[in-house]
Amino acid sequence: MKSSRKLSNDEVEFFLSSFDNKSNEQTEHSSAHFYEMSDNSLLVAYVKGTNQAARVLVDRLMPKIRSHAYYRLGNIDDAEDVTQETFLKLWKIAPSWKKDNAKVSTWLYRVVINLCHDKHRRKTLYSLDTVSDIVNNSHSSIDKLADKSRQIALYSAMSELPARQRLAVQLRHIDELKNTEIAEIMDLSVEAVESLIARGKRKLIEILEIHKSELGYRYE
Amino acid sequence: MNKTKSKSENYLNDFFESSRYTIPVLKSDLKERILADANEINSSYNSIQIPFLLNDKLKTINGNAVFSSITGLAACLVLGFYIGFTSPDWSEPVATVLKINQIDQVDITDPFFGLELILGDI
Repeated sequence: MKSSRKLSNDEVEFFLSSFDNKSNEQTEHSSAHFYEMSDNSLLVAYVKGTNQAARVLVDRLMPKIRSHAYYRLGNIDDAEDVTQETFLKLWKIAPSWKKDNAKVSTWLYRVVINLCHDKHRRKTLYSLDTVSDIVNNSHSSIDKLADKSRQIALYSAMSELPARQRLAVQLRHIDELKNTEIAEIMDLSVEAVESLIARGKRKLIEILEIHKSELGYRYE
Repeated sequence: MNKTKSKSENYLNDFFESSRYTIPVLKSDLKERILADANEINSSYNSIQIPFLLNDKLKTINGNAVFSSITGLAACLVLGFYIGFTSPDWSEPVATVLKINQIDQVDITDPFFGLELILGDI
């Protein structure tokens, strides 16, 4: 991922005004600068009517949010609906967004977690069969099969964890967020997050031990 | 103990890694749907913002108009009293030119007042 430097509001204004005045060719070239802007600055640019900013924001954050929703719901259609709804909420809140607010990504994670929770409440536990609709980047077909089996086993095991442990483990080990970010998303201290993750992982190991042989593990 | 823990950790990490590698198929129109929402909402902001901007301008104009009218009214009031109580020097020549320096004594209580003017025409 490209590094994002935070731009001040003045810089955003200056950049947007220069963007408006350029010819199409120059505009295409300068659209690359959007990728250097922070998420918050992009949101400010979006509110000022620059749709390119929304595009960059979606490119940057949509895969993470969609992936999170998918691992929570186990169904791609539901996950994509929830992702769309999450971004819809972002566009709606954008004009009243303050730069002192939480990071855009943190806010999106909070929203997607709540939407997934609501969706879960309305439905029974997701079916593992739905997890089959996937693309796998593994090298060989054997690897793909192994990955798929492990993924299904992990889903099954994670569904046995208490909700907060499951969420903390998913955010840390599947979404690959830092503990500080998870603490902010879950509104907990970093120590509490570490404790949740440790307990969750211990329980997962216990559950998955039973399936070791089925999943082709030979070592003790 | 540590060795066992490390093996278990590795074992679990395999599962996490497999889940990360196993990426759901992206439906091609999801991004377009999200961007369509963004455009729609942004255009609604713009259409709402213009009346707001106009409203602000009208409020400014309105504020100025109220101030101007009150100031004008007060000035007229003061000038009116001034002219009423202290007859200015320039009022006499103006009255002479307009021939309004003489005030006719008219008895408006006479019941036949003005009748001769009407009958004179006939």
